[in-house]
Amino acid sequence: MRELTLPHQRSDLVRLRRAVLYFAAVTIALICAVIAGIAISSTWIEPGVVVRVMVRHLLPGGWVKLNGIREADEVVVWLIRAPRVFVAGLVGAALATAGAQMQGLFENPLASPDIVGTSAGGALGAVMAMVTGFAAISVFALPLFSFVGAGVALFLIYLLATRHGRTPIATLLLAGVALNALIGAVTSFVVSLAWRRYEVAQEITFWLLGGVDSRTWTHVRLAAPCVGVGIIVAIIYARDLDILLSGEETARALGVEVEHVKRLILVNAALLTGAAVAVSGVLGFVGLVVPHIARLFIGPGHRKLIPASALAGATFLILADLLARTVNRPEELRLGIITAVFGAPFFLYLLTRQRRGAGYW
Amino acid sequence: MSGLKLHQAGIEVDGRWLVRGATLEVRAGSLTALVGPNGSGKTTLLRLLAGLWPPSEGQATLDGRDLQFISRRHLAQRIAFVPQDTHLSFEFTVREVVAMGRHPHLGRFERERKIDRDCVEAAMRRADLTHLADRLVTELSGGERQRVILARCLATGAGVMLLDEPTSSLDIAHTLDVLDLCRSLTDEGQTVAMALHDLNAAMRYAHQVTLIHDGLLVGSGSPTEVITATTVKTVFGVRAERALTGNGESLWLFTRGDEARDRGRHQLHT
Repeated sequence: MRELTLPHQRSDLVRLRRAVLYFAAVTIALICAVIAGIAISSTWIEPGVVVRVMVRHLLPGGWVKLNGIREADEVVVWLIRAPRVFVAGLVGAALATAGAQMQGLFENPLASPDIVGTSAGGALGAVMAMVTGFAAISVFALPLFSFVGAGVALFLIYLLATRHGRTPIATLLLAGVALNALIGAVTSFVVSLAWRRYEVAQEITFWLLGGVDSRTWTHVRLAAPCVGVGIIVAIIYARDLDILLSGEETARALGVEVEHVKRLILVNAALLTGAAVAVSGVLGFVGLVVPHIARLFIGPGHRKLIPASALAGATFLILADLLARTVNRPEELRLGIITAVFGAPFFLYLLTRQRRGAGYW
Repeated sequence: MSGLKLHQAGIEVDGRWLVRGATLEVRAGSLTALVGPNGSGKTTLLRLLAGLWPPSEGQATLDGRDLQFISRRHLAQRIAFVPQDTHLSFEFTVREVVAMGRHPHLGRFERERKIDRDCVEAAMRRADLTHLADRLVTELSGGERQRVILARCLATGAGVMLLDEPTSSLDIAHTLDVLDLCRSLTDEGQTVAMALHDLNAAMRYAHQVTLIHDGLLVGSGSPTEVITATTVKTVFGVRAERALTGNGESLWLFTRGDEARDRGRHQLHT
């Protein structure tokens, strides 16, 4: 033994303890956020009532009786507020999972759906669906178009910024800026084509701002399967992502089918982003910030990082939406404003840390 | 017995041959050193042997089977390869990194079994890492990290280890640690081939030396056969002189061998 062994804490035990605490805390926070998100709004509904209505609808019929609860409250809780909160949760989980995967794939702490233009691509796809009228024909057109848009954007950024499996931070950011600007211009062009149809243009503009207001169970049903599949696939490929962090050639030598895995993760991240964009428009910074916070607590291993990010993302966006509804009552702020207010400073912090060369996340 | 061979193998990239007509056998249970100047094709040769790059001509075989027809997963169970720039910049623990070596043995939906954990522990013991198992790799010294990477190789259970300049970023003590470990692994039946810059280390540690120059193998055999004053002069363009140490071992001393310049330097100093 030539190295000087300094006294140290058992990193694995520290980390295990932190992971258990993290998952317990975030799960409780998520449940509280859902209840608060439904209870607090223009009118206050007792949390007890919220819980009973939710349980009544989520469990098989007849298990829970709704004695003494006004029908109006039940309708407000189950048909108006619950879907909005669920959509927020699904979108938060989707964006955070997509971000965690992209940061691993690009080996780059600043990769996330909004920064590199994936969300913008999804939005362009969705706008196309609205302008061409496909969105009016089938509810599946919007998510399908945004999935394709997000996929094309993600593939482009990969082609532009990645050389020999490495994605330098500056290149990724610059390519992201360029792609965001280009997609933004094309989106504006498409919207301007539709300006004579006032209602369509208004709908598009409002939707582009990003938000989860007046969402219905249809939106939940649309997003839930994509988000579920996306998170499960991300967990299944967690070990491959871990190994990819050691570099592509090492991964290949360890038996990872690198090209196959990368393609699959790109498609999966596009699926998650597309699903999120289709039901909520473009929401910035969720996919960037949340995985970093999760990583701080539970380390870089993706098997835990993916579910940790998904849970935290859901909680974060539900709370952000609650804030958007209550901070300036009775007016609502757009949700995108709230996420940006929290996310942008964090992004700058990451950037300065990177510039000081303070290692990796 | 693992027989890893190249038959007239070569790699062509953009019309340039990085390696051409290489015929080579990596002897089982021996330590083979690949030596040659920068850019001579050592890394390409290792990639050929690892089956990472398909040969543009000839073939690479393991026990007579063409590497190109063996799946990545099965290849990874037989041949371990460590590129020169392996990044360990993430806060994984030592055990987590070594456990990645079990990846080729695990199905997509499988979790680590007892045998995998045993392999990981054995690999860490062999590389003298047991006391560091739960430390973060980002906290380790360069020499310790290199041992972690070697342990990950061992955990794969592959009989052949291919290492691209495993000592390039290490100080003298750590270099000796890594070379000693590799040498003792070959004594236990492991096959190791490594690209190496230090000719004296190659002389001392390798059973076999292969000399490569401009993509061509110009010599293969025992260290004393391959590394001579003549070959060093032709391949590296420097003069090699043999010097005897106090305890009778011989070392190479390398000089420019450029009389005029040596004289000039001498005058400058006086």
